[in-house]
Amino acid sequence: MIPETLLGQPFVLGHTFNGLYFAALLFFASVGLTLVFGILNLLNMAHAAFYGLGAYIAVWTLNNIGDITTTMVALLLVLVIVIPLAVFVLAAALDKTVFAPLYEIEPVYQLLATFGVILMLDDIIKYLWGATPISVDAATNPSRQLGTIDLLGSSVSVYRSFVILIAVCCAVGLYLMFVKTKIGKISQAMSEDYEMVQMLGINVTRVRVLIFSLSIAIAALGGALFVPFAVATPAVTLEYVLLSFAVIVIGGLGSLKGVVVASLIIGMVRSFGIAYVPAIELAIVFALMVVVIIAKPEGLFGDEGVVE
Amino acid sequence: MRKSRLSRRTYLKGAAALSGVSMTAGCALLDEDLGQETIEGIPDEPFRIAQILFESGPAAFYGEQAMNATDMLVDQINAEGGLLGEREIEIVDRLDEGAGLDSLISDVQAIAQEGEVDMLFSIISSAHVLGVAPAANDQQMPFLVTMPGTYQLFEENPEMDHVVRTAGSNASGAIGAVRMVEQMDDIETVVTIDPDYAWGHDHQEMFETALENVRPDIDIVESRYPDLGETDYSAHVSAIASQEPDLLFSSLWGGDTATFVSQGVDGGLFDQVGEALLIGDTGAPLLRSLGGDMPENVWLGGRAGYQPTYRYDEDEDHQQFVDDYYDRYGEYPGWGAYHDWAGLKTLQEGVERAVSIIGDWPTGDQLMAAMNDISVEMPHGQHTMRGPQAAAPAVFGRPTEDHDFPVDHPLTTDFEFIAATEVNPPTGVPTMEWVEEIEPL
Repeated sequence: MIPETLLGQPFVLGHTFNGLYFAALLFFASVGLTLVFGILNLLNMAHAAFYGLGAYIAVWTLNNIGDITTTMVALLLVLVIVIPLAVFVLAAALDKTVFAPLYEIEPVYQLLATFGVILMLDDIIKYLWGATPISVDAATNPSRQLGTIDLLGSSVSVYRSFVILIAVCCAVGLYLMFVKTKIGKISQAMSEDYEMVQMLGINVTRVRVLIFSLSIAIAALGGALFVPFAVATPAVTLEYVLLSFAVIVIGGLGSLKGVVVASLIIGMVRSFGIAYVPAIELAIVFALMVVVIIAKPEGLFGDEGVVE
Repeated sequence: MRKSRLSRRTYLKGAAALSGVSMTAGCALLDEDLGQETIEGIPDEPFRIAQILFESGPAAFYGEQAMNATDMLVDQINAEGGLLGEREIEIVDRLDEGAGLDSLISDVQAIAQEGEVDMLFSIISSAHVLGVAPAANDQQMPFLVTMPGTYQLFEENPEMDHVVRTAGSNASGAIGAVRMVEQMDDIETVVTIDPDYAWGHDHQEMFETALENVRPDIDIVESRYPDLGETDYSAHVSAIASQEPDLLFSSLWGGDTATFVSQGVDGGLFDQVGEALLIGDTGAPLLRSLGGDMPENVWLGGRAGYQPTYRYDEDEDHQQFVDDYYDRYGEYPGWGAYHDWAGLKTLQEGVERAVSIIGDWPTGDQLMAAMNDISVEMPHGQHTMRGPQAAAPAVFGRPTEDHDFPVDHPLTTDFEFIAATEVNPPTGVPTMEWVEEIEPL
């Protein structure tokens, strides 16, 4: 029987908020994965590893920035702009070196090779920061500094609301990029016929590097935003590798809309699952995945292109 | 590190003056007819150890501490000449538990058949030890288990004679927690949250069963089992906070504890619960990783007194260990480090005991037999093996930032000690049978 406290309005609101927040994190972790597959035809299992890398870079940066500034705007800019930009540059370099040969091989080999990249990044993270969990110091932790507000009787984290807002902006921004800009339209055309675009004389390598680096930077943005409300551990990468694949299987490979919808579904199912049937919350998520695979093997929006 | 002041010659000459305990052990060595194969004198080559621990994945948190402590202590022992001051230790191999159970078993079998390793050492996962220890025993490969707490290890494999475990079983943490709750006033409701695998379910089951016996007035209103390696506890935090339990019990450990506590603090969880008892890994590295986040209404602890602040001033040996570790690694030792310290101390004592009895270096089975029923001095007092299994006390403390150590994160203080006899079943009694019959103190 569900206790009365689990049926009250504040409780339901609280779990709706938790679900939205988790959906935002899932979106950051998986949107790049689906774009890279949809546009570049690369199944990059290592994608979520950059989510973990973003988390570690964010902890390190925030814990060392205190001598320079503790201004909230500066801290948030570091998380939203500086870290993703730094990882964008790193990803561009990796695309031209580590990943470039992978575009030409079969998906099964892509999976194996990119799994190797996960192990590589895992060891680099351990080498740089050790295996002990690390957290952001309270003085430079936006989550701790921004505190909570009361919303209809529920205590709501200001920082986590900010993370949800950034996710919404990111989704809208990506949509606008694909439908309004030249580079977005080229990307869509590449997802439909890569060789045709190449024959039109467009520098597809440049577009490829841009899309790949942007995708990785969004994953790092997610990790950076995640960590002020959590702790950086090697487990982060593993959990989000699994969950991001669940998102794109449910939403459909290569669909922006699919990632948004699947992230929301998983976020809400998980949040209310934990509240009411905690023993099987993860089973529900993966059961949902199985149902989608049986009913619609291409995923909810897998046959609709990147932004349709 | 305590130095061995006894040379080989002293042992060989002093056989006639053995202590009563050693005589008993000697009889055991002879009674079990283990002395047929002999190693003459003390071998010149190093004593070769293969260490098993997590070098990858979330549990590498624990593996790193264990590896650090082992490297440091082996260096110290070797600087004094090695075991007995005469035979150096060499870590010849490290097996990563991240490779999985099947891989570990096959590696252990290969190691045993190659004959290039004298002893297996460490291991972290309870799930792994239940597979690896019997496999090592089948190969007559000596295995000193230092960290896993599963009570099933010897209860399901009572015939193992090449395996000893210097870690206390998980009963001491769970029942220690029950003994703590037994003394608490104003506790009517409890919520438990434990990792969703054997470690978490065993702890919860022991805690709930024993609590029903000693405090039937307390109601466990909810039990939660998040996945191992969970990164977002916010939904659990909201659900627990809404229950406003008088007590929160948890065997989450490592990064899971850090994430849960951090998000619990953010979500105001610890303002909604009366007390929290965290009995997973709660050592100094955890407190360091949480910075100033650790709330004050929390008891940290469990099996053995493995906190750097526990009897630091009173125990010179402990002080030396803590200071050496800090000087070498820039942080205080965590539970993984302490567990392997207990293991290496037991190895030293076991070798000394065996040589004092048989006059020569022990064979693998003689060494394992010599470590049975041995005691070594640890921060919590005598750390005693009952047969092949250590019986550890339970020690709990409060986190505080008010300490004299040169770190700016909380450490534990205000310790409560519960003797090993109160938190472990009598020898030969199955753990769960004993737990079901536990009575109020």
